[in-house]
Amino acid sequence: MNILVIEDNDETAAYIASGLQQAGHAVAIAVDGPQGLLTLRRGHFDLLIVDRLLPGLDGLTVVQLIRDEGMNLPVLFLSALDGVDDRVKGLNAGGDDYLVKPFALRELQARVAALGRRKTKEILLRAGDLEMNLVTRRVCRGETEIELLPREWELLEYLLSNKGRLVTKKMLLEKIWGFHFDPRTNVVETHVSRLRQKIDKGFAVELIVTVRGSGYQINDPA
Amino acid sequence: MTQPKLFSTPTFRLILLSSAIFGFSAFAMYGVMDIAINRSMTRQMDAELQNDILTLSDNDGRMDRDRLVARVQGRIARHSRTGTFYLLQDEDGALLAGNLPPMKVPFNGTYDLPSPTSDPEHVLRAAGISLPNGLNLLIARDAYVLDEVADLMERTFGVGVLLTLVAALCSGVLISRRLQQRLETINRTSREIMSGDLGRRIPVNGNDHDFDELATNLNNMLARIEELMDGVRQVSDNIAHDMRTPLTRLRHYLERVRLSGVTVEEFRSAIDIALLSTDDLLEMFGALLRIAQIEARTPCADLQPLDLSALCEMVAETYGPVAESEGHRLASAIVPGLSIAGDKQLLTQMLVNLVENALQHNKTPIEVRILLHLPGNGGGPELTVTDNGVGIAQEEYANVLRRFYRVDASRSTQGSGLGLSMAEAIARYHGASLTLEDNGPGLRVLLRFPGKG
Repeated sequence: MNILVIEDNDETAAYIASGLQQAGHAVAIAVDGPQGLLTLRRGHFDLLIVDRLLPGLDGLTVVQLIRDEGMNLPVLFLSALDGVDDRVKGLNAGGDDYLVKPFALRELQARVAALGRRKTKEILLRAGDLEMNLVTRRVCRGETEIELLPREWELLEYLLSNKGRLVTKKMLLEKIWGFHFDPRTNVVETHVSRLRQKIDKGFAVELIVTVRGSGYQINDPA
Repeated sequence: MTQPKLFSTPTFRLILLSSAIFGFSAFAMYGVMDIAINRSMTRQMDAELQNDILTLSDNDGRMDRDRLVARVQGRIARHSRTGTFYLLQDEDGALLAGNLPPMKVPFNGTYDLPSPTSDPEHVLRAAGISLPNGLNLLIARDAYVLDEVADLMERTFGVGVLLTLVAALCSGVLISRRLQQRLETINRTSREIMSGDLGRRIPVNGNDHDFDELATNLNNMLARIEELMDGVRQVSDNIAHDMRTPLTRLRHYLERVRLSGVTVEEFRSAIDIALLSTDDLLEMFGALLRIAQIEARTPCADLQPLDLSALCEMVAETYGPVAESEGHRLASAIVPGLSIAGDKQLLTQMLVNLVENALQHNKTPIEVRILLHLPGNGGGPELTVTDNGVGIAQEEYANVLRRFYRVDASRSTQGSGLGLSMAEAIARYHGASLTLEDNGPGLRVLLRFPGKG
């Protein structure tokens, strides 16, 4: 993807750029709001990563402006502020995701990958012989129909719609449980393990893969 | 306290001003009264004179000339020393009888005459009459009585006003000295506090309502400031101790790996471990910041209507499997449909902290219960998180709400020691009370939310 990063701190900008380049993206950097706007208007970008606090024009205003101009590329806010309202304000201004500093590169890469995926919602999600029908609300693995609890359903749907990409624990906590903090117990692990019991146990191929220290990923078997 | 300062206090100046206004109005009143009394007394004197003159001339004035002369002379003989003067003239102005020199005056009505003693202080008040038989009669009296009354009034008034002014000034001095003493007490206490003695309080002496209220309010404010200062001091102490320990441990670990490590794999796994410890540290800082942010908010501001029952159900449903995976149990009894004004994210975190706190502080299997109901006492919903584990000694209840405080001194168990402090900060932000109770066995955390309206 072609990504623009608007970040006034050189060190953070370099850190983000290195992470994104490692994941195979092309990165441009703007150091303040006005420069970021200019760059956005001139070039074509697939994703914008913008710091909330910027000299000149703050991140919220930049995003409001580009939304008013009709640019609909996905936006990821970065912020040192972890206030509850800050996140809400960021998302209301037209952001698609919100990441609080400091963050791990893996986390950034996973969020960028999730944001970059096609927005069209499919009716049938598949991985190998696992099929999830969002209309009939049925899940089958091969010939076996699987009963899922509501939360397990959401978990599987999120993993499947990000098939082939890492989904971090933090993303799952935010999207599935609405937890914007790190619980000290193994909430995600426990629930993923329950889901595995249902969709992987007794089958030859395990579809949900643990990415150590980061999160989970569902893959089509090779 | 210096004397010049006393006279320059606003209170004293105010009293001075009000005394001046009082003095001025007293003099104005005196002037008005002086004129009124003078007039009324003059009128009375005029009436007496006219009465007298009519009596003397027998009203009709048809008395014959000689008899009138004899009467006037008789009067002069009797009254010469009482300051009454008589004058009887004929048509040509010739003196017929009298103890005044003949004069050309209109012998009708009343008027002032210069005194025959040529003393300028003495003025005569006179009444004249032109009789039908052509004679002119005049009776005059010394008007010094009027002056004397005026003098008396002047003296009485002067002394009265003077006394009042002196009393006003004295009370001014007393009141401003008293005010200044109270203010000085407050000032002295403030200076002592500013120079570092935060424990000082303004004395409340119980007989001066306004000042006592001021002192009480200031004292309450000081107590709150001291509490906050203590909090800050405690946190910086905690940062020094609690943050330094893991940092030191990390440093030692890195140093050891640096000296003993050989393979890339060894270094890589060492870096992974180091990253995990830094993440823990960052999370601790994050939690501290979050508590500070919550405490900095105005209580109960920006709260939205929220289904508390649904929130509790969600946490119970999420943590049931977690408790099971750690060998514990989680049960819940949640009355549906209870809502409050709240912040969803913060309340979720609060409840999660309480549940995790119970799960993490018990090694042996326990049952954690989440209970939510509406007591019939008019208050808001009551949320209780109980466990039947080891609990906390009663004398530790106050301590465990402090930041970084952990019951086990060894700090061997996991956790930052911030979970309960954050829960309390969130409860306080929602206007709810958080109390710890003995669950016999175990701990009961009770949250009482404020009622609506």
